[in-house]
Amino acid sequence: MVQKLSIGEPFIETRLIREEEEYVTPGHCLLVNLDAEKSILVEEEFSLRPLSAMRTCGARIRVPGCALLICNVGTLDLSDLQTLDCLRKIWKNGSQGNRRGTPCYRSPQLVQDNLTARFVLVSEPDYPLGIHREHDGKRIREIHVQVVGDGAIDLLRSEDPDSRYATLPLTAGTAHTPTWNAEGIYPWHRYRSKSRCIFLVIKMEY
Amino acid sequence: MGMKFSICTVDRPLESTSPFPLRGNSYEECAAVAEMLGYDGIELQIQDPSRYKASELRASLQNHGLACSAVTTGLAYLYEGMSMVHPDEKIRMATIERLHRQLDLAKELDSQILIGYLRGRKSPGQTDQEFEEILTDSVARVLEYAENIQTPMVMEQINRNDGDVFCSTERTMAFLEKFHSDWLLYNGDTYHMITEDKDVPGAIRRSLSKLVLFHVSDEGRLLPDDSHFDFREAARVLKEAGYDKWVSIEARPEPTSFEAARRGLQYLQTVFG
Repeated sequence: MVQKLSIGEPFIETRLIREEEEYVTPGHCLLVNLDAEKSILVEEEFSLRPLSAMRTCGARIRVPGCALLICNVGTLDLSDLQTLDCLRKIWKNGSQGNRRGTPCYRSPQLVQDNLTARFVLVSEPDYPLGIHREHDGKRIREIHVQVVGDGAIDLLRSEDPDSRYATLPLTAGTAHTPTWNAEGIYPWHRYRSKSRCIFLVIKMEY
Repeated sequence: MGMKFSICTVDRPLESTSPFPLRGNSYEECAAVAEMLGYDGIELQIQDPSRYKASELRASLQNHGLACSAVTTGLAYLYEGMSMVHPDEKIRMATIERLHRQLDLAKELDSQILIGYLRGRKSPGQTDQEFEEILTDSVARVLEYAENIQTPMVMEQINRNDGDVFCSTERTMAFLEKFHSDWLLYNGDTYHMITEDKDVPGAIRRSLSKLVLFHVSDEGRLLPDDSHFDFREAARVLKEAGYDKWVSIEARPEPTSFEAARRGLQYLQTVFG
């Protein structure tokens, strides 16, 4: 089943794919495997691992679990001020752990079964979002997918911003490796923009 | 005063083959983007008016300094099977009732309804004349209400790929003119004209007495690229006639909805402005 979503409209076209034997991705897309166990088969020879992302260009895919497709990713130009102004007008100001008045803007959120997802624009470079390790007390798989520009996930020893001990870089078209351990416990972490950027934050309760 | 520029919008996730370029999670969002890009109005795809509060839509449009160029009705055909010529009289009457409610909404928005697909297709074995008789009855019922509440009812030319009867401008205009009503008007559409009207400038001139909405759309429902159709000639005819009503972008949201909306307006301002 392929379901067109409206969370990114009118800027980003997004589709949710569940259990599709064969589907050809349109144009230049970003394919995100949302399944925690099953790989997506691409052109019958490449396996996209669970909870990872890749760019595709008219690729034939088999999705045994669940995937998200972000279409025409190269067309959004954040250096264009009219585009930026429209994004800031349509998406809500503020983000997780950040009050209004920050350079963060949230798209409407997809809520479906155990899955939530939304795009976030960070309109300033080198802007850190809130440090956290809990996700509303739920067991959550959280991944960030970089859609436009560059960002990073910082891992920290504490809530102190200066306690960073590692960074997972995110370039456009990539997702970071899982940051939770076998018990589902996260280190202190935060998203940080490296350039003006848009990322997708996906949370799956389990 | 020149032509007014508008864009077809939709507030739900439809496939990108649908020629509604500006998409959003609500018409408030669509209006915000349209305002920032510089449009004068937006065209709303309304399947069922009872799902909307007219006062909220009106406030949204007013807050963004926009007008509603049309309340468009085709989603009821696509998703509910409604049709003005449906062989089942109950469905036909329900369609007419729905159009009355669409007119109520359009009146609240100081706008007009647009009927394209909702007029329906021929049943198997049905002749053009039988189709026209049923459609004439349905149009008369809707038009009577439109006249009572003084809200325009606009009908679109539809080419042979998407419709069965009244495919050309001439044929559509002749059908509309037999009702002798100033409240029954015409929507020209370059996408349909490309297929049906050999002399497009002539067809536009033929329609001017009833033309209130002009859809700009290239082959394949794409944005104009000046390689398939002479939009500049069409614009020249409208300008020479002093046409000062709506010109609206009706195209697929490619490469993205936002870019289609932006490029669409740039094209209208360059060629029709």
